[in-house]
Amino acid sequence: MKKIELIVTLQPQVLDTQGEALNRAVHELGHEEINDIRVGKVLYFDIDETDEAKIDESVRRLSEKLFANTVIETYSYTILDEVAE
Amino acid sequence: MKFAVIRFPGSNCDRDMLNAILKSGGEADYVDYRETSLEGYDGVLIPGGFSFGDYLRSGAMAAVAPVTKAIVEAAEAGKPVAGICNGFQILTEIGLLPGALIFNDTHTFISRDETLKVTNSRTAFTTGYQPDETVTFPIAHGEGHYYCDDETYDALKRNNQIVLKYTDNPNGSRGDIAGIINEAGNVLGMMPHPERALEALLGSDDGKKIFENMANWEAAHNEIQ
Repeated sequence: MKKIELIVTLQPQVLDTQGEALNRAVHELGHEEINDIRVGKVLYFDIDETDEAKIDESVRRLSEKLFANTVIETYSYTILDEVAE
Repeated sequence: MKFAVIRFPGSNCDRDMLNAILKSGGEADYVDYRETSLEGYDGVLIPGGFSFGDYLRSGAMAAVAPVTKAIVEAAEAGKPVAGICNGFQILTEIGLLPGALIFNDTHTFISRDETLKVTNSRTAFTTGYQPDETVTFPIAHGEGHYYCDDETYDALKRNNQIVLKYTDNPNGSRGDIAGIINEAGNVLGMMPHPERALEALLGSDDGKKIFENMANWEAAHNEIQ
C-alpha cells in the first residue's frame, strides 16, 4: 500500500482568476515581491499496489479520465511513503 | 420525439427543460443519472445546475456517471443531444464537444439577460432563426468562460460549429462563444438558458425555436439540407 500525492494545476496559458485575485491581495498586503500565483488542487489517496508501473498506469488512467481535465490542466504525482497496513 | 431529461444530484433546471420540450410538442421523461440505458428515447437534454455540487470541476463527476455511456451512444447514433449551462460543461467534460468552460474572467457569478447573436442558423437546432439574428436569453453561471486552443478554435470556425455568440462578452469566452455544436451537428452545448426564454410575458420567448426544432428534429434536419 502506497500513499499518492497528485497535483493538478491549470496549464500556464489558461487564465487563473483565483491566482490573479490572490496576487492582488498579496500586493495589497505589501508583498510586491510575490507574483504569478497559480492555484491548483492536491489529491491524496492510498493505492493497494507496490509495483511502480502498475501504480503509474492506475494514476495516469484516472487522472486523464477524472482527476484532471487535460484540455485545461496538467497533473503530476509523487509516490509517498509506504502506508502502514 | 421523446426526450430524456437527465437528472443528476444538483441539477436545477430539469423542470424548465422538461417544460420547454413538452410545450414545443415533444415528449419527455426525467431520467435518473444511475440509469444505464436510454433505449426508447430519441434525444437527450442535459439541464443546468450544479451536478454533484461541482465537486472537482463543474461537470467532472457527471461525466463519469452511469448514464454517460448511454448519452455518448445516443450522440454517436445521431440523436439530438443538448446541454445547457452545466449541461454544456458536462458535454465538454465527456468530450462530446471540444474545449472547456473555466471561471468567468471576473470570477463572479453572473445572472442576467444577455444579448446574443445566432451566428449559424443552418443547423437543425437553430434553423428558423435569421442569419445573425439577435436574441435575448438569460445567463446564470460562474464558469462560462469558453476556453479552447488555437487548433480547436480554427476548426470550430472552419466547420461553422459556433452557433451563438455574445454581443457583449460577459465572461471572457474565446471569440465571444456562447454555444457550439459538434462536427456532425447533432450535439449542442450553450451557456445561456433558452429554456428560460419561452414567454414574452416573462421577458423573452426567443428560446422557443431551439426546442421546437428538437421536437421536430427530422423536419428541422430537412430544412437545412
